[in-house]
Amino acid sequence: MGLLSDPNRRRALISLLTRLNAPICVLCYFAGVCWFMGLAFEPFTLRTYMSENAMGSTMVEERFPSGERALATGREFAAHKKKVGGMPVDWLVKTMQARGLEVFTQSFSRTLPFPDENKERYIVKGTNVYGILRAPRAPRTEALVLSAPCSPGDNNNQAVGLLLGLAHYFRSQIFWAKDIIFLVNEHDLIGMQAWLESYHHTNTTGMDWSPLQGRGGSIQAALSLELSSDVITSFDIVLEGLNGQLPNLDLANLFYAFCQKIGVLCTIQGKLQRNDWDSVSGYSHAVQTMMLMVMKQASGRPWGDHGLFLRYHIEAATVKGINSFRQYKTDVTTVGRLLEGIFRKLNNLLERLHQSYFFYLMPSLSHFVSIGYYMPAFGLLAVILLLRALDLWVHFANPPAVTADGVADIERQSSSGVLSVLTPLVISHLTGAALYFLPTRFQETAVEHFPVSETEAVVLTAIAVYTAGLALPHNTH
Amino acid sequence: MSHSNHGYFLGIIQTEIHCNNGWHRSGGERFLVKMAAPLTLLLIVAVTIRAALNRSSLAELIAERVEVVSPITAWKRVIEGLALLDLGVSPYSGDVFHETPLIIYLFHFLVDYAEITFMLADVITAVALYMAVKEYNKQVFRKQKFSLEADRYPADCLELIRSPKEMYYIPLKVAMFYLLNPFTILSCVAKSTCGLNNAVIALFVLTTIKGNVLLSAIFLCLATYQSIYPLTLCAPAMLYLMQHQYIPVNFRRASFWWFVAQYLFMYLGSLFVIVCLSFFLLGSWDYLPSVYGFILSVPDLTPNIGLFWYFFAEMFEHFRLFFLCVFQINVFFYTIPLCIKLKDHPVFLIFMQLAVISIFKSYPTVGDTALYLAFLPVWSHLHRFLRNIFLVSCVLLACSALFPVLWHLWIYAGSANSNFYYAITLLFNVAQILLVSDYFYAFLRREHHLTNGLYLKKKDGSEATLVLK
Repeated sequence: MGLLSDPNRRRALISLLTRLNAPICVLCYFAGVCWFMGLAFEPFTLRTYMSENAMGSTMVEERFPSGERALATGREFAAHKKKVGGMPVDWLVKTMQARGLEVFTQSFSRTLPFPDENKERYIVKGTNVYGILRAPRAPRTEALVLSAPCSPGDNNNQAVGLLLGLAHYFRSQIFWAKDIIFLVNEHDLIGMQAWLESYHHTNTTGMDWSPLQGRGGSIQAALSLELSSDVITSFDIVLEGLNGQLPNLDLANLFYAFCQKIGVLCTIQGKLQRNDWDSVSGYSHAVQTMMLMVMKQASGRPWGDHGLFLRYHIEAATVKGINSFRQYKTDVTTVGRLLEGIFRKLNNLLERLHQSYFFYLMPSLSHFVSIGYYMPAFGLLAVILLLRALDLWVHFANPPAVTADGVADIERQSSSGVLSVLTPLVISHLTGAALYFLPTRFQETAVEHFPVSETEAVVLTAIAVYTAGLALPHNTH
Repeated sequence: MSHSNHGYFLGIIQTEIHCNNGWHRSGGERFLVKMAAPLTLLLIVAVTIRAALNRSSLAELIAERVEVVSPITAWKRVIEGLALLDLGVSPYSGDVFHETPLIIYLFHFLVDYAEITFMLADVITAVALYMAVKEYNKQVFRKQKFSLEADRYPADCLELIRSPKEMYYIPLKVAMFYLLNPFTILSCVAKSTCGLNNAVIALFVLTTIKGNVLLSAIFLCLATYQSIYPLTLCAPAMLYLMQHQYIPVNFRRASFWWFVAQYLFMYLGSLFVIVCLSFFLLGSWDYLPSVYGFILSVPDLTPNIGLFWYFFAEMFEHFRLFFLCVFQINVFFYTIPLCIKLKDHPVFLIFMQLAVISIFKSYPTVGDTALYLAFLPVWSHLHRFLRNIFLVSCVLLACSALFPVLWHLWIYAGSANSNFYYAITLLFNVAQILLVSDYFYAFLRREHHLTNGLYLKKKDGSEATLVLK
C-alpha cells in the first residue's frame, strides 16, 4: 500500500491536489458533461441485440386475421362505456366469457389525499375486469399479462377491442405454455396498483380492494396497450416506470425486432430514428432522445400502466399506437400480428428476463448505452465533491499559515474534530425529516383549524419549516 | 531485572506521596461527582432513543436486516428455541437455534421483558466501559508522571505528554460513542444477543483493568462460552494482570509461568463448570455441535457483513475444510505477533484483538463493530499521527449507506446480484482493517517519538521522516 503508507509520495500527491484543486475540479466537471453528451454519438454506442437465448431462434409466422372484428368490438365497448358512464363491467364480463376466458372482477376504492380538482371528489372507486386464458397443456405456474386501460371519453377503445380480438384468436391456439391474463383496468394507475397488490398479496399503498378470485401463477412479462385510432402510422414504446426503473433491455429489443419484421415504424420518446448520425442535426436528435429518457426517469412517475409492474420484478412495457400525418398507415390486423408475435416469443421464455441490462439509456431504438458507460460521467462529477472535501480536510488539519509564535498555533489544533461537524449534520437531517413528515402529518389539523385548503396546507407547512430554519444558528463569516 | 522492580516500587511510593498531596485524591472524588450527572443524562437519552425506536414500526424492519442480526444472534431464533423448549423438544433440533443454554434459560424467565433486558445490557456495557476507561486513564497518568520524573522523555516531545484536562472527558466520550452509535442502537432495537455478548466483554475489560484476576477469568470464560473468539483475549488479559501485579513478563521466570498457570486454571475451570452446567440444564450435549460446531464450521451462508458467506457459497466441497481452517485460523493468528509487539501496552492490545475478532469472525454484525469503535476516544491523543482517518470514515459511512441499497437491488428489484453486495462487504471490512492498522501505526509512532524525540534527526543532523515498512 505504497500510496497510503509512504509519506513522501503522500505529501507530493496531497500538495498537488491542494495546489491544483480548482482547475482539477473544473476539468472533472467538463469531462463529466462532455462524456455524457458524447454518449449519444453513435460510434460510442452499441447496437442492441437479443441476449436471452430462449427468445433467439424461433421466428414464427403470425396469422392474426380479425382486425376489423376487433375494431367492431372496440366500437361496441365505446358505446357501452358511454351508456354506463364508466367501465361497462357486465358487458366486458359477458364478452370475455364468450371468448372462453375465465373472467373475474375486482373492485377497489382509494381515498385521494387531495380532492380531485375536476370532480371535487375524495374517493375514487372502480372495477378491474380480467380474463385468464389457461394454457392448454402446461401447469399453471407462469403467466403473461396483456392490459389495456379503460379511459374516459374516446381514448383507448380500439385497444380494448384489439385485446378482446387477440383473446379470441389466442384461445384457438394450442401452443401456449403460460397462462395469459387479459386485464382491463379502470382509473389507470390506481386500478393497476390495486390489481397488482391483490395479485401479490401485499398492501403498500393502503388501498381498499377486494381480493382476486382467480390467479394465474407468477407473471413473467406484461405489456400494456394504448391504441386510440383505427389506423396507426407508428408504434411508440414507453419503458420508464415508477422511480425511473426500467424493464430489461431485452423487452425493448424484442419490440424493435418485431417492428422491423412486420415493417411498422417504431419510435422511442416519440422520436423516429435517423440515419445521419454524423451530422449536427442527427446528433442533436439523438441527444434529445437520450435526454428525454433521462428526464422521464428523473421525474419518478410511471409513464404508462406498465410502470407499476417493475417493482414486482415483472418486466413490462407500454406500447402506444400513434396516428400522425405520415403517408403509410398500418391497420389493426398488422398491429395484432405484432402483438401476437411478441407474445409467442415471450411464451418461449424459460426463466424471467435477466440476461440483458437493467440500467441503460437509449439514444435511439437500435442503440443503447449501458450503465457501465454512463456511470463514469456521474463518477467524474462525484469526484469533484471528494476532491473539495479532501482539500478542506487538508486545510483544516494543517493550517497553511505558520505564524512566528509556534506555541500559540498548537492551541488551534482541532480538539473538537468530528464532533463539531456532527451538530450541523444532525440539525440538517432533522430539518430534512421535518420537511418530509410534517406537511402530510399536519395536513388534517391544519385544514381543521385554519381556513386553508389541503394543497395550500402542505405548501404552507413546508414554507413554515423553512422559515423556522432561519432561526437556527448559522455561521456567517 | 531487579532494577526495574525497584523502579516500579519507587513509582508507587512517589505517586502515593503525590496522592496524599492532594491532586489525585480530591481530584478523583470531584471527578466522580462531576461526571455522574452527564453520564446519567447520557443514559437517559440513550434509553429514550431505544424506547422510541422500539415503539415505532421500524422495529420489525430492523430486526430482519442481515447486517444487524446473524443466525447466531437473531431474536426470532431465540423465540423459536423457547417455543421448542416449551414443547419439550430439544431446542437444538433442526437448524434454527444456535444460542447457548444459559441464554435460553435467561430468556425463559425474561422473555416478557426482552426490550428492557437489551437496553439494560447496553447500559451495563456503557457504564462498564466508562469505569474501565476511567481506571485506565488514572494508570496512564500515573505511569506518565513516573516517567516524567525519571526523565525518560526527550526534551522536545513535551507536546505529546497528556494532561489530566484533556483526559477528563474521555470516559464520558467512550460511553457516548457506545450508546449513541447508530450500530448499537440498531442492534438493541433488533434485540440481537450481540448486545449481551458486548456486555460480558465490557465487564471482562472492566475487571481486568481493575486488576481482579478471578472475575476477569470468569467473565472471559462467559464471553468464550458465548462465542469462541474471545479466547484470544486471554493473552492481553494475562499480560495486563501480570503488569498490574508487577510480575515481570519473562519466559525464564518461574513467577511468570506460575501466574499463567493460575489464570488458565481459573479460566479453564470456570469454562468446565459452565459447560457442565449447560449439560445439566438441558440434559444433553446437543448444544456443543449446535453452538460451537455452527460457529466453527459455518454451515449457514446467509449474507452478512462478514467475509465467509460468499467464499463458501462458491466453493467446491473438496476444498471446504481447507478454506475453513484458513479462515478460522485468520482470527487467532494475529494474537502472538501482536502480543510480542504490544506487550507493554495490553489495553491497546485488547482493542486490537476486539477489532480483529469483529472483522474476521464467522458471523459478524454491526454490534460487534460498535464495541471496538467505542474505544476510539481513548486513543484520541493519536489523532495527529493518523494518516487515513478521512478516507476510512468516508468509506465506512458510504458502505453503511450502501448496504441496504444493494440488498434491495439484489433481493427485491433483481437488478443486481450477490457480487454487488459482497463488494460492499469487502469494502467495509477493508476500511475497518485500514482503521485498525492506522491506529496501530499512530500508537507505535507515538511510542517511538516518546523514546527518540519528536523531531527526528538522522546521524548527520538533517531531518528524517519515519516510514512504516
